[in-house]
Amino acid sequence: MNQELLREDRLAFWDRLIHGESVEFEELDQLVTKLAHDASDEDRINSVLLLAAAQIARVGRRAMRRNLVAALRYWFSHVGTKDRPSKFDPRKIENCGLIDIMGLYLTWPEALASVLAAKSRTADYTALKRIERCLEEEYMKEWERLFGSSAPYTTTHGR
Amino acid sequence: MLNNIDFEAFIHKAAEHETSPIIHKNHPELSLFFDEMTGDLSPEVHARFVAHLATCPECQTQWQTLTKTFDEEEKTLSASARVSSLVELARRQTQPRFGVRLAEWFYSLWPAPGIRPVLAAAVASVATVAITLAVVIPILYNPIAATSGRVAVITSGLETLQGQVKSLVEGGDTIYANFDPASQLTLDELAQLTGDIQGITDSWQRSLIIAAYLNSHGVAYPRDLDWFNLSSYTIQLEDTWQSIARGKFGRPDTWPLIWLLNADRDFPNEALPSGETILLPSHRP
Repeated sequence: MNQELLREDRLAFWDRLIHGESVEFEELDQLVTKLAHDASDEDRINSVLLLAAAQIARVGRRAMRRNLVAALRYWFSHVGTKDRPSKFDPRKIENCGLIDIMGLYLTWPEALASVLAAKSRTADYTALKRIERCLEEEYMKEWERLFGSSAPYTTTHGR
Repeated sequence: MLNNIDFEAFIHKAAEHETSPIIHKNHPELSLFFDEMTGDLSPEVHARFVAHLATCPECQTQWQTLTKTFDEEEKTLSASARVSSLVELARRQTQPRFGVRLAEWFYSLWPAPGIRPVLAAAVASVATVAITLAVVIPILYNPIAATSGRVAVITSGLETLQGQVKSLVEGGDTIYANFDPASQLTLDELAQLTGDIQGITDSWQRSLIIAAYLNSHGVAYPRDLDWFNLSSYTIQLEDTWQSIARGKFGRPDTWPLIWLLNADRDFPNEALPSGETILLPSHRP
């Protein structure tokens, strides 16, 4: 039950990040406290991932914050099911949240278009790789800060 | 466990885990769905609502149905309540008036400027003749037609009055308040009634049909005839249908109905066989 409550807490934060809002560290304190006790590996990993994303949303450069929102929309759109409109317009999800994008199965250009101004919309695939790399680094850092050990994860990027 | 996988796959796996279904004991009320749609939920309630929906397929379906319905409804409403755009309004303002456009169209038919006055004069002449025919002729002829109509009505009224006076002088029928000789059966109506009765061998049924027909057509035959109670009459020497109608009911014009009532008896119109029995409507007491 606690794990489910913890997950619901995280989902509320994910929703705010997908909206493009920032999440303060103080707000995540309770989450970190719960994490210290009886949390599963997956809960720990996902909570640290959330902390890393929140850190980028708070202190990252503007382009990186924008790419983070696009990436979160991209990733979370690939879970769940939804009737996708035949003529899908990414501009309609500019202010969307978690439940709006779940099941939409966005392409990266669509996800990026939802956070870019109309005149600067390009299919920049490197932006996805950049935000992945940035999030990965933050994730490693946060894990080490919280648990004092290296994250239970190594990339195939050769690092 | 998570080693050596691509970070993108790692993130996807995390997203799947975060949104994997939870068996919820309680679900948000419908009003919360509407409040979420209109953005009326407080941040705390909104956060709980989102967390619930993300992990509850049942509520996700309900949410999708509601949002889809609202989107379609919004499209319908916005289409019906469409306000003209500024561009459209501007275009309307700059368009010439109807008269000006009509004149332009007229002149565009004949591009040679020298011919225009001649054609205009010709069109004006034709229009004058048409107006004369359409306006002057009805003015000339209508009063005559109207007077003829009024004379016909007065003549008809006089004939009616003469008939009633004659009837009173002869001491025949009682003139009922709604009695109108014009409401008697016409030949066409009689033919229709005959058609209705043809093939019916039972006198009782025929009398019912006659009574119903007279009622539905508002025919004012003497009220004292009861078509629902028939009585028999033995034909006397030299009786005719008319003489029987006159003698029994005082109304010779009711003979077709008596004849219809006895349509199964193939009697000649003029000379009825004496001693035979026919049916007649009885008199009301």
